[in-house]
Amino acid sequence: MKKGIRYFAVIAAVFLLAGVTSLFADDSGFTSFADETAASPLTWSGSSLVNTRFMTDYDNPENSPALLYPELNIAVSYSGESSDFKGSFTFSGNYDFTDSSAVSSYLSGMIDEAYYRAFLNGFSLEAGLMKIVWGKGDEIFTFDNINAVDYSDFMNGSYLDRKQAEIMLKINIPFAEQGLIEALYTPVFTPDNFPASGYWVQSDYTTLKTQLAIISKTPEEALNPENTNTLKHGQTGLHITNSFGGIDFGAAYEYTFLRVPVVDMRAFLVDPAQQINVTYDRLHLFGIEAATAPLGFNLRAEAAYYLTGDTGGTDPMEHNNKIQYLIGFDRDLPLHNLSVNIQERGEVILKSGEIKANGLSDIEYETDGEYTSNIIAGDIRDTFLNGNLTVKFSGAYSAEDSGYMIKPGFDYTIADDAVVKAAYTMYRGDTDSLFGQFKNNDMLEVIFKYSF
Amino acid sequence: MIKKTLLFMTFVFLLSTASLSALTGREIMQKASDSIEAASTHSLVNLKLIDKNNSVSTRIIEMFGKKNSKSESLSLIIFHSPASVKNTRFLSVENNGRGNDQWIYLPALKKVRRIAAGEGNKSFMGTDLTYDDMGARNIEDDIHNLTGEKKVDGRNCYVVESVPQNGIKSQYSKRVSYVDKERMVPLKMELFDKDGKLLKIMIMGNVKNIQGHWTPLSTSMENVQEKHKTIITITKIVYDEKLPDGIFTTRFLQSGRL
Repeated sequence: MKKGIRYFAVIAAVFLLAGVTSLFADDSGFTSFADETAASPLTWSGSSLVNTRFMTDYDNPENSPALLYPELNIAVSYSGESSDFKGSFTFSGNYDFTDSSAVSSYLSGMIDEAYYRAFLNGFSLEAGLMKIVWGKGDEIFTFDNINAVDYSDFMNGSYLDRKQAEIMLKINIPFAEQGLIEALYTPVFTPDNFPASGYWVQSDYTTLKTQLAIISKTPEEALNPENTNTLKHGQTGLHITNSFGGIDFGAAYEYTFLRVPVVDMRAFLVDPAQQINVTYDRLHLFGIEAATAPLGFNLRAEAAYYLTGDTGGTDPMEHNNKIQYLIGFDRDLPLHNLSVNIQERGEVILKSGEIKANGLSDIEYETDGEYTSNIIAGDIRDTFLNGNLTVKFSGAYSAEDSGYMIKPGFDYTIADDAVVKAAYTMYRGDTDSLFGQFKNNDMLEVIFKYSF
Repeated sequence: MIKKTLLFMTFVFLLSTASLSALTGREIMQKASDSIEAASTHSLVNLKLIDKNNSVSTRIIEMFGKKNSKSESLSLIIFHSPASVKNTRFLSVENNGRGNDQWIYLPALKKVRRIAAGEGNKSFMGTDLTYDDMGARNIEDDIHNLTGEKKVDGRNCYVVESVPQNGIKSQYSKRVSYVDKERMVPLKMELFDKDGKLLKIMIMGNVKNIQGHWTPLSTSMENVQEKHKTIITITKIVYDEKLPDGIFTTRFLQSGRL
């Protein structure tokens, strides 16, 4: 047994054990003091925030409004002996009740998550509207494909905020000391949501809109999206994780759909009265992940293989197989409280020669001949005032198109539950680049958040 | 007979006094450590952070500690308040023969993240305690010298100076511990920075005997250089509770349930 001395013996009595006698595993259950003192098994919490954005369009100074986004989040949970329920709901101050679809969209968007968990003998079961996060990345992933992403405000907010909950059934089976098997089924597939208006409309959509305007059509009229709200669009997933010898590792398999849609314009190009069909490729997605922390570095890596039906790359109307990978680290620096976090995510579309051979008829054809993409993202931050003030400088760079985003800012904790955040975001690059397409959206963002 | 008994008791008393006086600094620190031996600890702790303007912020955490069948220390911390960090969970697993494993679950990310254990001189949750302050330090890592005796809060204490052995890393150049002679519980500690200047003072109070363990229920740690103080109050503590191994897993971090 390690002979340990607790200089802070008093606290150590609480914080840790010193030279304790060995105690063998006994999973006979336990009760948290918090549970003992809770007046009711039903608890609630939440936060309110006001997000103010001062847009700064240098080319059109008159188009630089101040935008206000108030929001209220309420989370409720019920904790029973061997089950619990968790629900979280978001009430946005910005809504459009002018048509029924907007109302429907608003109401469905209110439910952030709502699910039930049962803790049974040797496994647990979860069912409901859920968000899952699979992978070791830090807000950037390669095979976390089950939930849809809402791109309405995708350059801002957190990764989890952008995710949309999916109805699913999930089983969790523990094994070994730290191992976990997760298996899930979603009856339907929800495609990603791309905005048709607002500040974060993507350039591909804007281009399509401009082209359709020539024939007096709108994208809404011309596009015929596949109905994915059917049982044949179900998804399944299996995720196994464990930890051994200081390394966390895992593997995943998902029977899902590629989130990049197939935009089939063939019929439309022959007869503009026809619609543009938007469908999704079936996908077998394989992923592996690992994380370890040697010498003060938190290292993480992921890799994913996207196996579509077009393994030969010859079908111009189906996406080719592709590989995604992620490597990254974060580390505290030996100066004040500085820390740095850097990640790189890459993608390689396989059989790109076949795409080139197919030419413009291939849905993946790129005029610049680039079939790889690499994004480097990171931040450096320091904390002051006993952690109450965090100053950070974030940025991201898209290697292939040289576009970039930089975001200096700070978070200041005014009181225990009240935080003010401010950041200035700048986008630069060509108008068709990942970040440059938003170069008129530079903004100063000030967020006041109160948690309760 | 009475005389003989008194003589015997006096002899025993003198013998024990002589024995105590002969304690070395290392033995005192070992006894201080041994005095809190338990199969497990489970506690609810209130942390009050007080800055130089007397502005106060409060955190409530729940802590669990035990050793596994391989005699490796397991510790779990659950954050209950403030609301902004509620349900954040931190797990540390000591490993024989290699560095500790540490993970944190952040509800805002819905993810368990492995974190490096090497930066122990960083503040724990904005308090005046560092991660190293809360962890184990091998007795062999320091040279302990008994330098005298002093009274702290009316109680007789050994004064032990501890300095790191050559080549052993430490965030402090020296620690001076005042250990209660009777209860073998430290009542005060002075911590010196790398330049040898006094950095922090730790004072323990409200010492109660709980399940046979002398436990200071109130501790203050003041950073005298930054004029910032943390008051730690144990509002509830249970020793030797049967804590399931399952709560010391990344699975528990993720779900918060067994």
